[in-house]
This record gives sequence, C-alpha cells and structure tokens, in this order.
Amino acid sequence: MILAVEDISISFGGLSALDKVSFTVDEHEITGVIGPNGAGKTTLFNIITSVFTPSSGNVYLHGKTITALKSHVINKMGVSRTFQNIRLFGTMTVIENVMAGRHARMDSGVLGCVFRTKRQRSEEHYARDKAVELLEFVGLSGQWDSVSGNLSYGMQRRLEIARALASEPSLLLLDEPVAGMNDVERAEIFGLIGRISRTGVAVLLIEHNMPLVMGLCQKIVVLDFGKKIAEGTPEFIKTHPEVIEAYLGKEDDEGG
Amino acid sequence: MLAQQLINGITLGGIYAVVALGYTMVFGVLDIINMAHGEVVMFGAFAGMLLASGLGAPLWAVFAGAVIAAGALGYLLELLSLRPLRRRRVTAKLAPLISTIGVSILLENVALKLFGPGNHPFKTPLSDMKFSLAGVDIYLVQMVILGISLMLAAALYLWLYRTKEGLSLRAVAEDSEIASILGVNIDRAITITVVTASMAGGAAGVLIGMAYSNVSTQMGVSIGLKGLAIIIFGGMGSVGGAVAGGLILGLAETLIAAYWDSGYRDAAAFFIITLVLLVRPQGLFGRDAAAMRH
Repeated sequence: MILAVEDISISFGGLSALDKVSFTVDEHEITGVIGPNGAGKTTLFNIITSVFTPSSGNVYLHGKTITALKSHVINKMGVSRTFQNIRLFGTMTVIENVMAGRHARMDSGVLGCVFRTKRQRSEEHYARDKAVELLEFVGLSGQWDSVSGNLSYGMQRRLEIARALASEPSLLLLDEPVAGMNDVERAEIFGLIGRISRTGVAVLLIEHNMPLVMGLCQKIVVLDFGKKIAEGTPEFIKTHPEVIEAYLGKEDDEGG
Repeated sequence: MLAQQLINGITLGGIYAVVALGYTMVFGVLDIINMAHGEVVMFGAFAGMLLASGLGAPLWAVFAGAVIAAGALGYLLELLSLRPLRRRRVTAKLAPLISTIGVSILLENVALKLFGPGNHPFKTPLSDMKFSLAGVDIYLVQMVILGISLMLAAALYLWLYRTKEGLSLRAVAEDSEIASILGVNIDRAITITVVTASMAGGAAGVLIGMAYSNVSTQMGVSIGLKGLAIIIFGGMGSVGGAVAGGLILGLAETLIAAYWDSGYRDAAAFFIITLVLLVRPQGLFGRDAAAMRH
C-alpha cells in the first residue's frame, strides 16, 4: 500500500465537498476514482497534494502522514499530478516544461547556479537527457523547442504527463487525462497509462465515465456527493447496487 | 556635441536599466510591484557612500558592501512585509503593494535619522579621471557604469533563462500553485528573487552615487518612479524591456536637456512613454495582456 486516505472531510462555505472518505492505493496498480461531476474527485487530489488542508482526516504516504506538509515536500516524497484543465507553463518550451517538473530531483543550490559548478552542469545535462527520454516515452518526439502553448490539445495532455513524470514519482495522480478526446486518442493515452504502470509507478486516475476505466483499473473507488459509496475490483463495482443506482443508472445522461 | 550627449545618455540609461531590472524581476515572479525598491537602492547608495567617502575603500569593496547591505535589506523586506501576507493567504494584489509602500516610508525616514538631510558627497578614486577620444570627454566613471550595467543585465538574463534555478523562478512566475505541486519551494524561490533584485538595486545605488557624485535620502522616490515607468514602458516582467526602456529613457532625458530645455526633461520623456503605451499598452517587450492570462 503506497497511499492511504483516512476519513478525509472538507467543506467549502458550509457545503460538504468530501465526507469521511477513506481508501487505499496499492503499489504497481492503477486505481480509478470515479463519480459524477461535482462528486469531489478533484478536491481529493487537491488534498493529497496539499493545495487544500482537510478539516479532518489524514493522508498517509508509505505509512507516513503527509497531511500538514507543503506541496513541494509532498512532491519530493514521490507524488506528482496532472490537472483536469491542462495547466502547462504556456510561455515555456516543451522541454523546459519537463525540466521544470524535475525540480525536486535537482540538488545543487543557488551558488552552484551562479558559479556553474561541474556538478551543476552535469546535473543540467542529465536533466535534459532525462526530459528527452520522457518526451519520447509519452510520444512527443521532435517538438522539444516549440512553445508548449502552441501544441495541440492531445499533445498538451501528453506533455503534462511527461512533466509530472519528470520528478520520478512513485505515485502519479491523473485528473481526467482523456477528457474531451476521441476513441483513438483515448486508447493511446490508456496505453500510455498502462506503460507508466508497468514501470512500477502507482497510478490514481480520475474519470467520470465509468465504463471507460473498467478495463484499465485494478481497483475502483466510487464517489457520489462527497461520499465514498464503494471500493473494489471493477467486477465488484459493476454489480454494486448503490453504484448502479447512483451512477450507472444515469449513464445515458452523462454521455461519453 | 552629439557624441558627448549620447555617451551621457547611455550612461544614465544604463543606471535606469539596472534599477528597472530589480522591479521587473520581482514583478515577474511575484506579480507585485515592490514600492520599496527605490529605498533599497538608496540604502545601497549610502552603504557605498560610507565605504567610498568615509573609508576610502576600493571600488570593488564599495560595490560588495552596497550589494550585501541591499541584499540583507531585501531579505528582511520579504521576511517581514511579504511573507506574512502569504501565510495568511491574503490574495488581494493591493495588500503587498501597500505593505511595501509602508516599508519605503519607513526606510526613507530611518535613513534620514541615520544619515541626516541634504546631499552627501560620494567620492571614488575614479571621480575625476577622464580621457578624450576624438574631442569627446569620457569619464572613467561612465565606462564603469556602462560596463557594470550591461554585465548585470546579461548575468540576470542568463541566470533566468539558462539555469535550473531560473527555470524554477519562471515556473513560479507563471503559476505558483503548479510550481509548488511540481516540487518548487515557493518561499525559497520568492526569497531568492527579492534578495537578488535587491542586490542589483544595491549595485544601482553605487552607480547613481558615482554618476551624480552625491546621494541623498530622498533619491529613492524619484529613482523608484523612473524605474516603475521604465518597466511599464518596456514590458512588465521582461528583462530585455527593462534594459531597452532604461536606455531609451536615459537617452531621451539627456538629449531633451541638451537640445531643448532641461526644465522639460522629465515632462518630455514621460510624454514619449505615454505615446508608446497608447500604441502598445503591454509595453515594448511585454506579452499581450490576453496571452499572459492564457
């Protein structure tokens, strides 16, 4: 078990966004968080990465609590993420975006930068090689020096995943990575997520379309109005009466 | 005559550019205007003055002392007037602006108390050294000012665009929340930015002292306003804009004073800035306002 979320609650302006949510993420697995829009999925990611502090409950990474830690410390401990509405550094080039994501893995400090120490330079070379490697891994070859804001939507999604991988996370949080994609693009990104998982990175994936993630995830957590209503294998979820009532019954309205 | 004025204008412009660099760095990363930067420049100038006029220290020591003093002041500024606002998650953009105005008033009055009113002579060994080149008098001080201005601008540019530390600062500048989630320590990045900008301000203070041969506790206000005008003119957050804006303002002021009337110097220079802004509201090197929000 790499991540444990325990009794997390948070409310905004008196409205409960998450209510005593608990679940775990295992190493080498892809875990899906599903639920209708507004179920609290992104809020959950924001709590795990410490953008928000929960009003009660705890988040544990490798058994250690990370609830009160700062975002950058949590990143250094091995958690990285992407965002529902892509948030790249739009004025930077593709490769700069990935290198910026690598900050947590670079050590030489300010003085190293000023005096361009040998270690600093080799570190920067290594970071660049590593970034190129990652860009090839996500399928973004040869566009390294274009400004990231000019990439197509699908390419921006891939770049955001590469940027998140740059800090060499042990847990990767993906927030609706296939939103707005057609079947072909979606299959490609799912293939990529599978390859990431096989490198040993645990993946926690948000998606609001349940049938989509059934084949990809080993485990699924279902949220509805801030509450967890089920957690288990896709087969278990598929036949869970509450899930069917709260979620699958409305599948036609949700669209694909 | 023209060559002489061009040299004078470029020298003045170089000083303006270094002052504007301090503003543009802080604005670029924190998205706020540090209204106390002019006073940080003034403190740097006084630190340099004490070393140069008081102790007769060599030029490198004058610069080193001013840079260290201004950097320390910048550290305190961040620690006492900016960080507490971030801690309380004050999101209003005006809060840090007001807070730095408070610091600027405080610093000016502390300086008045410490150093006394009026002009304080700033003497360096170079003060009166000059040479003639094709009928044009060039003071050694002018060469030093120009050399140091260009070096500082180039160093800042390389640091921001060629190092990982600079990359992190640019990441914070674009989206501090994302940068933090990606592993950048925001407090550290901001401290580095404010201290570096202040160190550049300290160097600018010595350059001003050398150029005018004296310093006063009120110099921060006027030089601060010039610096502000330059970054708006050059493009907020742009290093190239600060340099180009500084040189243009310095040249314009000098040429207007020489060929027209020194009484109209500031009015005419700011009139030019206003005209440019009417055509390019984002400034010379500024990004489109729409693109910045992206």
